[in-house]
Parts: sequence; C-alpha cells; structure tokens
Amino acid sequence: MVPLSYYLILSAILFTLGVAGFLFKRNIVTIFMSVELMLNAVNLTFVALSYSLRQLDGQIIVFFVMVIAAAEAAVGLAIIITVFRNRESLNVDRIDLMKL
Amino acid sequence: MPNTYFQNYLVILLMLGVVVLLAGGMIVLSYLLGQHRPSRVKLSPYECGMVPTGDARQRFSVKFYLVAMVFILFDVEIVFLYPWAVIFHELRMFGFLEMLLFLLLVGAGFAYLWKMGVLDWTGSDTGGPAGGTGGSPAGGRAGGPE
Amino acid sequence: MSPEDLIAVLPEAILTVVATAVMLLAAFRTKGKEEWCGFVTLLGLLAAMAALILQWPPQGPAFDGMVLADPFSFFFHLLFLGIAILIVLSSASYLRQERLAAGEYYALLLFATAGMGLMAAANDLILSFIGLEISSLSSYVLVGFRRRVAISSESALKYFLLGSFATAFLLYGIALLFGATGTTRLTVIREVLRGGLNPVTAGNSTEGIVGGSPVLLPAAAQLGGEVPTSLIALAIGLIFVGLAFKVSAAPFQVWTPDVYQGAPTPVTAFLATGSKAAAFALFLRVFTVALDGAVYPWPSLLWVSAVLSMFVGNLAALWQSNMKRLLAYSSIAHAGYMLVAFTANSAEGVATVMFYLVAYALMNLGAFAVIAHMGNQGERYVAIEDYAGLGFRSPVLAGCLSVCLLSLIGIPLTGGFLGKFYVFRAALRSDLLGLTVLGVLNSAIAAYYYLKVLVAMYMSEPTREVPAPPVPAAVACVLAVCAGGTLLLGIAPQSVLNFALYAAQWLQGRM
Repeated sequence: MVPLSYYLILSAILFTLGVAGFLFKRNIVTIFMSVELMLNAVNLTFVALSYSLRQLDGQIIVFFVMVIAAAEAAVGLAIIITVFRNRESLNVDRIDLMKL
Repeated sequence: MPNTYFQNYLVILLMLGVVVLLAGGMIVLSYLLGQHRPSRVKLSPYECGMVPTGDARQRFSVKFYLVAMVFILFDVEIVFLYPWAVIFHELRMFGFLEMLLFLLLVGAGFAYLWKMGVLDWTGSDTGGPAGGTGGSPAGGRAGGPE
Repeated sequence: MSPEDLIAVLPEAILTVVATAVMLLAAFRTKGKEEWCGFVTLLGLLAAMAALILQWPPQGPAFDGMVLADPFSFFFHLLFLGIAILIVLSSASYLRQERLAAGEYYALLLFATAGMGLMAAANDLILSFIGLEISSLSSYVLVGFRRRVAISSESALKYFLLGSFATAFLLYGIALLFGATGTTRLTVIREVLRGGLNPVTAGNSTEGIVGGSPVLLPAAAQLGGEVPTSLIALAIGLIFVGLAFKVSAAPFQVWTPDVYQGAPTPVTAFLATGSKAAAFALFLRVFTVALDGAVYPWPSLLWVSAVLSMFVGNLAALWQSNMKRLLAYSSIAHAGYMLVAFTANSAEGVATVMFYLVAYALMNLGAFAVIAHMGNQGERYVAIEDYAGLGFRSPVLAGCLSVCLLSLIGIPLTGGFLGKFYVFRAALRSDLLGLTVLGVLNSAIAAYYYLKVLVAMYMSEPTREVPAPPVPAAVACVLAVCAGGTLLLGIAPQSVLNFALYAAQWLQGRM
C-alpha cells in the first residue's frame, strides 16, 4: 500500500513545477500548460485524499475540475489565437502594449 | 506493509528488464552483424509510398484549433454520463430528467456552433467558418460588419 | 429534489436558460437581433429578480446543504442582478458603436451573473469554485470581446493567464482543506474544526452528493482523528491567494490596471463592481463561516493585504493619465478599504463590506457609464485631458461624473463617505487603531487624483476637440440611477445597512 504522504508529496512537487513553469517560461502555450499541470496536481491530491478518507466526494470533484479545465483550455486557446492574430507572436515579453 | 506492496511490482520490473534486453539486443546485434549499403531510396522517409513534398513545419489552418477546442469540450462534458450511468436505476425519473436537461444544454451549445459555421469545412480560408475569424467562439458570424 | 431546492437556485436556473436562449437567438435570428437580445436579457434579469422574491422569507439549506439561500445570498443576488441590469442598459449603445456581437455579449454577461449568484449562495467549496469559474471564464471572453483591438486581446490574455493561475491556488487550498477536514461543506468544516466531528467521518455525517455512499473500509483514521493545524494554515494561505486575486487586493493586483484598460468599458465596469462583489461574497462566506478568525490567523493576513492594497492603489493612481487606469488603481485601493472592514472580523465588519460594495457599485457604474459614453468610437477619448471643460460643454454628464467622483473620494452626503465612515468605525470597534489611521491617511491621498479630474472638468480649457454626442436614453437612465442612488445612500443609508447587518448576523449566527 502506497502511503498517502507519497501522493501528497508528488502532487506538491507537480504543483510547484507548474508554478515554476508559469513564472519562468516565455511561451504563452507553455505557460498555459503549466497551469494545467497545477490543476492536475490538485486532481491527484483530491483522488489520493478521497481514497484515504474513504469518500467518493473527492473523486466526483475531480470530474468537475476536469471539465472546468477543459472549458478553460478552450477559452484559453481562443484567447491565445486572437492575441496571435493581433501580434504575430507568442512570447509573453512582447505582449507589452500596456506598461505601468 | 509498503514493502510487500512494492514486491508485487518486482515481476513487472523483471519483465521490463527482459523486454529492454531483448529489444536492445536485436537492434545492437543487427547493427553489428548486418551489412550497411545505404542508397537514396532506402534513406527516404517512406520506402514505399508517396514522395514527401515541402517542409513539415507548416502553419495549420486555424480551423483545426477550433475543431480541437470544440472536441475537447464535448468530449469532456460526456464524462458526466459515466457516474450517472452507474447509478441510473437508483436515480429513477429524477436522474433521467436531470441528465436530459444537461444534454439539452450541451445540445444548445452544439446547435449554436453548427449555426455559426464552426463545423463547416468547405468554406474558403478567407471568408471561412465563423465569419473568417474562427479565433473565438464568442466571435462568429455575428461579428460580421467590420 | 424538492420544490424548495428548486426555488433556492431558481434565479440561476432562469439566468442560464435565458442566456442559452439569447445565444441561440443570436445564432438563428438575422434581423434586428441586437434589440431582441438586449430586450430578452433585460427580461431574464427581471425574471430572476422576481424569482428571488420566492426565496423570502429565508429557508433552510437546499440540496442537502450545498446551497444556502440565506439573507446573505439574497442581498448579493439583488446586488448582482442590479449591476447586470445597469450594465446591459449602458452596453447597448456601446455595442452598436463598436460593432460588437450583441447576442454573445449578453449571453456571456448572463452566464457570468449566474456564476456570481452561485458564488454567493454556495455552502460547498466545490460549488463556489464552479460558480467562480463560470463567472471567470465568461469574464475572460468578455474582456477580449473587441478582438480586433490589440490591447483588448492582450488584456484578455493577461486576465486569463493570471486568473487561471490564481484559480489553481484556490483549488489547491480547497483540496488541502478537504484533506484536513474530510469535507468541502463550509458549515461541516466549521463543526470539524471546532472538534465536534471526526474528520474521517465528517463527509458521511451529512448527506452530500455521494455522502450516503457506503464506507468501503472501516475508518482508517489516517489522520488520527485530529485536524492538522499546519495543513489548515497552508490551506488558508492558498485560498487567500486565490480570492485576493479575484478582489484585486495587493500583492495580487498586478493584472488589474492592464485588464481594466483594455477591456470594453462596460465590461470594465462589470469587473470592477460585479466580479469584485462576488469575490467578496465568497471571501466573506468562506472565512467567516468555515474558519474562525479567533483561532486561525487570517485577520493578520488581511491586515497586511489591506494596507498594501490601499498604498499601492492610491500611490500608483497619482501618476495615471488614462481614466480607466485611474479607476483601476482606485479599485485596488477600494478593495483595500473593504479589507479593512473585513479584518475587523465582526458582524459589523461583514455588514460594512456589504454596504460598501453597494455604494462602490453605484458610484463606479456611474463613472464608467460616463467614460464609456465619452470614449466615442474605438475608445479614443479616455485620457483625463479629454475631460477638460466638460463641465461647460455637457453639464449634466459632468454633474453625474462629479457626484460619482466625490463619492469615491468620500465627501459627506454621498454613499462613499458613509461607506468609509462605517469601515473605520468597524475597524476601531475591533481595536484596529493602526489600520484605521493608515486608512484615513490613504483617503486623504486618494482625494488628490479624483480632484485632478474634477479640476480638469470645471477649471481648464479643452486642449483638443472632443465630440460630445447626445446621451442615449438608456445611458441617461443608468446615470440617473447611479447618481441618485449614490446620493440616496449618503442621506438615507439605514435600510441598506440594516439589511446588510441582518444578513451578516445570519451568517455569523451560523458560526
């Protein structure tokens, strides 16, 4: 039996990797994938906790999170395409029409 | 307890080793023992079949993205049918009506997409689907007068 | 599902159905669909308001405790629907002028409103999360609605990326809270944290979605029956990050100016009032219901965030020359004032936040309605110097904007003044003297940049020709409601305040 803490540590690592990717990557699509990685790390947490607490709630939650992530992906891709049409670039450093 | 649990995986590990040895051995042996006489035909990507033309790094039509997005959405919405189907009999009429409502909403989204021409592949690239914009589901033909 | 359950979510159900209908109407109708869509949207919002009346007097929990149609949710539903109606009224002429697709715009607006309603009514963190996402996803699209305009799509991208980043944090917080307490039901979390329930069995103590599911194995008590405090602290931190982003409180405010500037002006107004109010509703419910402020140190987190928000917002606003950016920074500062009241961690504080949100919504909607009208095609005239001499060219428009700006400063006889007054009173009653002093200091700083606009309107000559088109009837209606409402709140705040206090006590009574 794999202990709960293994799963929690793994998902914490995945979440941190997602955060790091979000902060350090320059390509919009990669940044977006980092966000998806974070969401999936949370999904892993939910499933692991749900299993260890002997409850199905956590697994149902994962369904909802997956659907939300898919909707987010659709909206995100649409926005990325409009940005690309306007700017011809997918580098965040060049999406800078507005500055402080 | 973790130890016995992980011991179950020992067999898989063994099998993995055998597979790697076998496959790796075949490649290495054929490399060492075989004869090497490369020719233009042998080096082509598809030894039999079409001769490839042009560069693989082409820009895709935005329609692919659009269809991909729509596919992901509808694909994932259907995920809810699985838990529902498992306890369909316990939920009785209420569950049935609930799911009917859900599917109706999904169907309304589909009707909208259809009408906006997202599924239309025959349109030309410039004036093509979704009013030539295709970029945003929020756009569509209604964004027309520009 | 009983009829009571249906009534509890009837406003959202109506909004969703009408939104779908508007969406289909936009696709299938070819002639005069702008007017039709606007009309149906307004009807839908009014119907949702009427459905709200069925929720009075407040009933118990619906859907096995997933939804609470209590006075707190009633108050926020009224606020959201009111905001949405005013936004629809002020959008019609804007959409025509910018040639945007009205049907999709209204449908997204309705979906966003439905999501906000869920955020205010949800008693389950997952339902809150879904509501938040419904409203956020609609907002992302709305922000980028002028998709031919580079800054609009850039705003949408920034909002989307940072928004989904913050959402992931919120969700991780929810997951950890679920792990620590064994449930996502706010009222049950409260019981568990008080030690009344065992976390391992908590999920089965109420009938959840699958609450009655058979326990597969005897409770393993992996967590030893005790609630791990460090896990809760981490969860509070993560949830705070997610929600602070949504209310645009420092240090998670970086997106606000860019998004507010690039979004279509009515959408900016919607984000500044509706989204902020919904996020505050969720913030208030999660923190006051589930997590006892006396035990868990979130008030100190809020303290820091409040001070930072006020200073960052007000100081950065001093340098702005774009009206929308100016109001974006002002919106950060106002989030700070509301957090001051929230930090007080009392029923009065909660009521004050609610009152402030109403006042803020009125004055901000009025100001943005003027900006949207003045902007003209392509939002060309949004700089402060474009407002030079407005007081002489169109006195009524300038008068309405002045009322809103004076209220944003906090001049007596306006809703903004009483809002600030109640904020500082609530803070003082909870012995937050330092925070109050900093807040008052900030109100003084803030006066400068609002006065800059007022001075431009009444005391300077126009530097370039700015067209002054006639005000459409719908926009005039919005301006009248906003300016009148702001003054009314400043003179007779009692009814709103009392209702807010009643709702807050109801919320706290369940603590």
